[in-house]
Amino acid sequence: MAETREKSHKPKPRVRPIVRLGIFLVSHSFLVSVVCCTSGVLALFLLPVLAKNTYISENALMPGSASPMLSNQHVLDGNRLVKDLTNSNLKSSETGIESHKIIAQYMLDLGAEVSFHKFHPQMNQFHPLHFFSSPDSGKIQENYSCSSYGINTVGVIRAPRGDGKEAIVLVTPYNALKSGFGEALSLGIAYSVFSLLTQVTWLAKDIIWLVADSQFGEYAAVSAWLREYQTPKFSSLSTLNSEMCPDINNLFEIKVHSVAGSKFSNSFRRAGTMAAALVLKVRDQGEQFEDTISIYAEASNGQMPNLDLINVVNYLAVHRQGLRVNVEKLRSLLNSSWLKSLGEIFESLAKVAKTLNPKCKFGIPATEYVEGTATLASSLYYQALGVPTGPHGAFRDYQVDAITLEISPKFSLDKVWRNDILLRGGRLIEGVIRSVNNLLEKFHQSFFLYLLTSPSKFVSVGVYMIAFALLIAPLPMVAASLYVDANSSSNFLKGDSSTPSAVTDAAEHGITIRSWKWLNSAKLVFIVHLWGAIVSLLPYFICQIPDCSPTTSFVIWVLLSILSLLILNSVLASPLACVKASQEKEWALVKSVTISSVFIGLGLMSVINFATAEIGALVMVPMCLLAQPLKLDVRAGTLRSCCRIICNLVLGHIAFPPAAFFLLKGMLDGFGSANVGDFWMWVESLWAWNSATYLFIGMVQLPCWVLCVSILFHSC
Amino acid sequence: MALLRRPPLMLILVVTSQFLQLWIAFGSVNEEGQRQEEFYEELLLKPLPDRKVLTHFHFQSSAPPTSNGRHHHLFPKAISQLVQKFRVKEMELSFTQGRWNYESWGGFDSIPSSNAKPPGVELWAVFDVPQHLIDSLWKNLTHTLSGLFCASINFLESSTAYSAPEWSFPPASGNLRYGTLPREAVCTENLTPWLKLLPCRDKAGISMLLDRPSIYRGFYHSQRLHLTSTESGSEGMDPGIILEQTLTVVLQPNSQRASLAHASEKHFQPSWSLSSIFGKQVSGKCVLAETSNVYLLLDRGLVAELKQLHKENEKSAEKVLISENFWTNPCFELSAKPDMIFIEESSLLSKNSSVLYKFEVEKYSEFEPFDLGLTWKIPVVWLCQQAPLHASRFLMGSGNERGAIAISLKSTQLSEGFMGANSDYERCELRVDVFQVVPWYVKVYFHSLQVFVDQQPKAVSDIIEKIHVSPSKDKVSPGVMELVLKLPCSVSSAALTIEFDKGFLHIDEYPPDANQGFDIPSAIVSFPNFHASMVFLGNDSLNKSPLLSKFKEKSRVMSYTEVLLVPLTTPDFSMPYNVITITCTVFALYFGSLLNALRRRVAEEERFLKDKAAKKTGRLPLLLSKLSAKLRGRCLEPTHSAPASLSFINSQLVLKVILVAGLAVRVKVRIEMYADQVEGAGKRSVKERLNGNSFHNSIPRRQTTGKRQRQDEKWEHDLYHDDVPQVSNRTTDARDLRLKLQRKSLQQVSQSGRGALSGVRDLREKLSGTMNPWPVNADPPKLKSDVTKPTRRSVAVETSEPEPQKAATTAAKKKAQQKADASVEGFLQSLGLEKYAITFQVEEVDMTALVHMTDDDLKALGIPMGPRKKIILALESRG
Repeated sequence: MAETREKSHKPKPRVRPIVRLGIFLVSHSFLVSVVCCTSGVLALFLLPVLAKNTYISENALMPGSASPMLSNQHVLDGNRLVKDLTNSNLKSSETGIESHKIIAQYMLDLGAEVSFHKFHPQMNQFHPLHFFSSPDSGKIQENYSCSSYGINTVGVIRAPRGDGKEAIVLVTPYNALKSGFGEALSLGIAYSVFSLLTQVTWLAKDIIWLVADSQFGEYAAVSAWLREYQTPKFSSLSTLNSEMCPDINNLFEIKVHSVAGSKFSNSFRRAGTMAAALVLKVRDQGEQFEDTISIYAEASNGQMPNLDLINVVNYLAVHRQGLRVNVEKLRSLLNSSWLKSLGEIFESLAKVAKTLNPKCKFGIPATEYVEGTATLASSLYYQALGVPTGPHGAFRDYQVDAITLEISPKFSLDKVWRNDILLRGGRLIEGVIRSVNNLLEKFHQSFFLYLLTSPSKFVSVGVYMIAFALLIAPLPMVAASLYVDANSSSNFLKGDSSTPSAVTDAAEHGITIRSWKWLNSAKLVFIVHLWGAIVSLLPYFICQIPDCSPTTSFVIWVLLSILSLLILNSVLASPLACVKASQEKEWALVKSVTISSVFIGLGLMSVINFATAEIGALVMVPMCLLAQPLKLDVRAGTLRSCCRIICNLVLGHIAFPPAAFFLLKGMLDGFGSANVGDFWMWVESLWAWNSATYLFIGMVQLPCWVLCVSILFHSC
Repeated sequence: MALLRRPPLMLILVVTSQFLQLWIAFGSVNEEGQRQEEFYEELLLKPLPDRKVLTHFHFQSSAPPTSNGRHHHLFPKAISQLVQKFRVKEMELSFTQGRWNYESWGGFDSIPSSNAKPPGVELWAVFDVPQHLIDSLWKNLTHTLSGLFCASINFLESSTAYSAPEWSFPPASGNLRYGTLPREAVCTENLTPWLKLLPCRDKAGISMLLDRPSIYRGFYHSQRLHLTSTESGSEGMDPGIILEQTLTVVLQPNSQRASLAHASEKHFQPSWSLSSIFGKQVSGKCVLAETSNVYLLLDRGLVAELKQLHKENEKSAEKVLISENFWTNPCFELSAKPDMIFIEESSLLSKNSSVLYKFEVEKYSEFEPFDLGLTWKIPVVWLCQQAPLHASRFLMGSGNERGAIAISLKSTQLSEGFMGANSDYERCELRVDVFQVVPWYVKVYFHSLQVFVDQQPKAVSDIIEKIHVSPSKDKVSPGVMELVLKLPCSVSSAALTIEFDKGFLHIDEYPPDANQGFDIPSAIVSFPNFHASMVFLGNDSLNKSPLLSKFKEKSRVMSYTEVLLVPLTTPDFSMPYNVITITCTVFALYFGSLLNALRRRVAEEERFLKDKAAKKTGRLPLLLSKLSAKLRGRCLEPTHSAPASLSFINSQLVLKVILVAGLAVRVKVRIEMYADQVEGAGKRSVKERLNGNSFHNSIPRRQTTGKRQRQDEKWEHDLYHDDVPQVSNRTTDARDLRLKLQRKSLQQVSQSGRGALSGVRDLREKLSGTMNPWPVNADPPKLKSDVTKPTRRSVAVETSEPEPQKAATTAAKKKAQQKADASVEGFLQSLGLEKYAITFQVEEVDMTALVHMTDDDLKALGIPMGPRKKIILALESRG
C-alpha cells in the first residue's frame, strides 16, 4: 500500500500485460538467459528419461501375425548359393563376372525377371547450388574405361495377383572381387527369402532384389541404380560405351534353360512406386554375446525413415526371432562416471516423486539412462553430421523409407550356425516384407521426426524441441536488452550534457540518429556473413586444383579465407574503426545484431536439420551470450569478470570449427592421430554428401565465431 | 371375380412357357424363315511357356432383330433392355484382376489383344444417338451396369472419370465414351451376375467348370462382356444383339511332379487336366447351346519347337504333326481323342502355323465326364508371339511437386516376320497409336512432350504424325492425349516423356485412403498395321464356331501398359483439428483483450484526460524514459542498485505469482466442480451468470450497493408476497420476473419473502445451491468492479495491479458480511453457531420464519438449550 501511494504521484501509462511481460523479460535478460540456458541443457539430459516406448502406429502392418513360412528347404537353397559363391570366389577372382552370373542364374531358376544394371560410380562432387535440390540424373562422363563399371544384378518378382503399382526393395551389397563370407551369407539370406516369395500367394507388391556391386562403395551402387530407376536418361552414350567392353557383354550370354517363365533381358527392369526398402548386411566376425541386429536409419541431412519401419523390425527381431536389436551408440559415453551419477540423481528423484504421488513414474534405472544417453548422443551426432549411415540413405533422397539391417552373429559362421542365422535372418526379412506388403497406404502414420534412445524408445519432436527452444529463447531477449542498453546509455550521456531547455529538441534528434546506429553494426555483421558464404564456396575452387594433398588444400583454404576477410574489410570500409570514435557502446550493438543473426540462423537450421541446430546452439549460445570485450573485464578485475574471461577464452577456442573438430576427434580416437588434413577430408565428405551441416558451419557458425572474437578484442 | 379367374390364367401361362422353352431348346432344328436366338459355349485351352495354362471361356448369345415385342427366350432380358433403353451400339465391360504378362503370355494373338485388359474395371460404349445426348445416356448406363454387376461402375458417371477418345481407340467414332476404374477390386460378387446372363448359369455345360476358388487363385482373370447391336432391317423392329461373354483365366497347374523338384524334372512343363486345374469336369453340354466345344490350341512357337524336336528324333516329322494320331505323339499325350484337328493357314507374317484340337462335349455325359488332360513327355521351351514393340510405362522424378510419365517402347526382336513383309525396309514405318488418359489432378504439360528414338532425342514433329490433346479441366474433365507415332522399322527402343505437376485437391476430394496415392489409368498402345488373326483350314463346321470366327476377324494388336501410382501431397488430416485449436486460442486472446478494452474505456479515457492535464508527454516517450531510467539506474551502479531493484521486483513478483497461483487454483477447483456437475446444472449456471451480468449491465449507475439492493429485495418481497395481483404482471413481463428470480438465486439471500415462494422456486434453489453454495464465492466478479471504482478514486488514480484486487477482495468480504447478516447462516455466523445452519436449512427456515420461531420450535429442531437461548436473545435484540 505504501509503495503504491508513493508511486502514485508519478502516474504511469497502463501498458498491455503482454508488453509489460516483454519489457520485464528484457530488463531481466541476464537472469532469464541463465535460467533458460541451464534448463535447456537440463532438458536435453532429461530426454532419455522422457523417452516413450515405441508402438506400431499403423494397424495394417500387423507384424508377426502370420507364422513364418520360410522353411528349411529355403534355407538349404540359400546355403547352396552361399557355397557356390564362395567356391567361385576361389576359382576365379579376377573379375566378378562369374559370381554375378551365378546369382543371376539362381534368380532365373526361381522364375524371377533378371537384369543387369551397369553403372559408373559417380564421384560425389561439390556443387555449390545443389544443396537442397532433388537428385537429378547426373552427368555422363565420356572417358570411362571398362574396368570402372559396376554391375548390379536385379531380380524382380511380380506379385501374382497384384496390379504392380508398388514394390518393396531388398538390397544386399556384394563385392564380387573380394567378398567376405558375411556378404555371401547376406546373399544367402536374401535368396532364401526370395525363393520363398516366388511361391507365396499373398504378395500384393512386387519384390525387387538388388545385389548392389559394392566395389565402389555400397552407397554409390545403390544410388546409381535408384537414379536409373527414378530419373533415367533416355539419350545417353553410356550403353554404347559399355558394348565395347567384352567382359560385360559376356554377362548376357546366360543360357536360359529354365522353363519357369524366367525372363532375362538387357533392359532395365522396373516395378512400381517403392513402398519401402531394406538393406541387409551380415558382419563377418562375430564377437557379440548374442546374435544381434543393428539398425541404421539416419539418411542425409538427418532425415529418418518412418518410425513404424524400425518398430516392425524391432518387434519381429525381439519377439519372434529372439535377436538382440542394437542401435548405434557412442561407446565412450557408456563408461563415463558423470553420466552414471546424473542417472542416479534422476533415479532417486523419480523415487521421491513416486513416494509423493504413486501415479507418476518417469524414472528409469541409472544404467538404462546411461545407455539411453549414449544412444541419444549418437542419434544426434549422426543426424547432425548429415551423412547417411548406410546405403539406405540413397532411398531417402527419393522419399522412400529405408533402413539398413546388419546382422552380427554370435559365433564364427561355421555350418550349424550358418543355417541358424540363415533361418532367423530370413524369417525376420520375410516378416518385415510381409508387414510392408500388408500396407495399403504408404508409411505416414508414425513419426518422421524423432530421436532414438534405444531400439524400443524414442523422443518425438514435440519433446526434444523444448530443449532447443529453451536454449535459443534468451537470444532475442538479450539482443533487445543490449540494443536498449546501448541506446539508453548514449541517451543518458547526452541528456546529462545538454541544458534542460534543449532537452526535447536534442532528444528527438538523438533518437533519430540513435535509432539508425545499429545499421553500422548490421553492416559489419552482414560483411562477416558474406565472408562466411565466400569461405564456404572456396573449397569448390580449391578442389579444382589438381594434385593437392588434404593438408595443402586446407592451408590454401585458410589463407584464402584470411585474405578474403582482409579484402572485404578494406573494400567495404572498416566499420569497427570509424564507429569506435563516436560510440563507446558499439560492441553492445554489434553483439546484439550478432545474436539476432545467430538466432535467425539457428531457427532456420532447426527446420532443415534439427540435430545440427541443437548441437550448434549448445556451443554458440553461451559463446554469444558471454562475449564481452576482454578489456572491460580486465579493468573490472572482479571474480565475476575473471570467470567470464576464462569462459570466453575457452568458448572462443571450442567454437572455432576446426578446433572443435580436432577436439572431438581427439576425444573419440585419441590425439595422436590428429592431422591438419583431416579437417579438410571431413569437410570434403560433408559437401560430398550435400550435408546442410556444411552450410551451417560456413555461414552461421564461422561468422558468429569471428564476430564474437572481434567483440572479445574490442578496444573500448 | 378377378381373383378367381387368375389362377387358371397363370396355369396356362406357365404351361405355355414351359412348352415354349422346350420348343426353343430344340428350336434350332426348326427352320422358320426367321433366325432364332442362339447360344454357343466354347472353351479354349492353351499351354503357356511359363508353366501356366490359359483357359478362355467364350459364351455367345445372340438375339435376332425381332418385331414381336420384347420377349426373349434365351437372351438375357436385362441386356436387351439395356440396349434398347440406352441406344447402345456397342459396349464392352471388363473386370480384371492381375496383370497380363505380355512377355511370356504373348501379345500378338487375338486372345491377348482383345482379352488382355487393365486391372480393375474398363468400360466403353458407343451410342447410337446425337452427340449432345451421349453424356446423359452414359451416366445412366453406368448406374444401370453398376446395379447389374454389383460394382462401383457408377463412379464412372462423373465427368472427371471418363473421356471421349477421338480416333485412337479401335472402334473409333465420336460417339464413344471410355472410362476405367483401376482400383476396383474384382470378386465373385461380379462373377455371379455375369453367370446369370447365361441360359444355363453355371449348372450345366462348360460353365460348370467355373469353380470360384480356382478361378480367383489364378494369376490373371478377366471377365468381359461385349455386346453389339446390329442394325435392324426395317422400321419398328428391335435391333438384333450379339452378346459375347468371355472369361480369360491364367492358372498354374499344381502338378505332382513340380513338387518333387528334381533338377531334371524342373524343366518339364507341368502336366494338367481340367479336373486338376478346376477341380471339376464337364458332364455334357448345356442343352440350350447350339454347340459346345473345347479347343486346345498349340501356338506357333510351340508347334515350331515341337517340329524341331521331331526333326532331331525322327525323320518323318511333318507327317506326324498332321497325322490323326498326333495326340499320342512322343512329345505329349492327350487323355481324350480330339474330334478334329485344324492347322492354321500359314500367313505371310510367319511361316509357322498353330494347331487346334477340337473336342465336342456333346458326346460326353454325366457317367462319362469330359476331362481333357495333357501330359508332357519331354521338356519343351518356347516363346509366345510378341507384339512388335513391348510397351511399358513408369513414373520419373520424386518428391511431391512434379514428375514425369515415361512410355518406353522396346522392340521385341521378332521383327523378321513382320518386317520381311515390307519390301522397302529402309523406308518402312511402324505406326503406333497411343491413347493416354490422365486425371485432372495430374496436370500434364503437353508442350513438354519429348521423344527419344534409339536413345537419340528426336524432334516431336519428325516422329509424331498426328496428335490430339484435350487438356484437363480442374474438377471437370480429365486430360486426354492421342498420338500416332511413325517409327522407323529398325527401331530398337523408343521413349516418350511428358512432365506433369501434381495438383492440390480439395479436402473432401481425397478418398479415405488418400495416402496410398492416386492412379493414372493404363495407356493403350496399339499397332494398327498389325492384325491378330488366325484362319484355320477346315470344313464349314468352323464357321459355326463364334470363337474361331472371332479369331478370323482382323483385330488390331493392342496392349495396355501398367497402372501408375502417383503419390500426391496429402494433408495431415489432423491439421483441421490443430487449426481449430489455434484459431480458437487466438480468438479467445484477441476478444478477451478487446472486451477488456471495451469495458474499461470510460475509466481509461478519464485517466487519459487526467494524465494529459498532469503531463503533456506522450505515452511512448514516457514509457521509454521510465524504462531507460530503470536501466540507467541499474547500469550505472550495478553493484548497488541491482540487488535493490531485484529485491523490490522480487517482492512484487512474489506477490503476483502468489496471486496468479491462487487464481489458478481457484479456477482449477471450479473447473473440477463443474466437471462433477450434472449437465443440466452446468448449463444453468452459465445462464445464471449471463443473466447476472446482463442484469448488472442494465443498471450501471448503481453506486451504493447495499441500499439499492435492499430496496430491490423489498420490492421483490412484495411482489412475491401477494401472489394473486401479480399473476398478470408475471405474464406480461416475464423477463423482468425471471431476472429477479435469477438475481435472487444468485444472492441466495432470503430476507423476508422466501417462505412464500412456490415449490418450484425451492427446487431451483436447491439445484443452484449445489453450484453456488456460498454467496461469497459466487459474487465477486460482480461486486469487484462495483467496489473498486470508489476505492480507486479515493486512493489514487494510478494504482498498481494488486492494489485494486486487494481492495476488491476486502470489499467483497465486507459486502458479504453485510449481506450475510440478512441470511440465517449469516445470522448464525454472527452468533458463532454456524454448525446449526444445516439444521435450519433442512427445515427450510429462513430469516422470515426464524423471526416467528419460538423456543419450542427451536427445541423441535433439536437445538440444545444454550444456542437456543442465544438465538432467541439475538432475535429479540434485532427486534
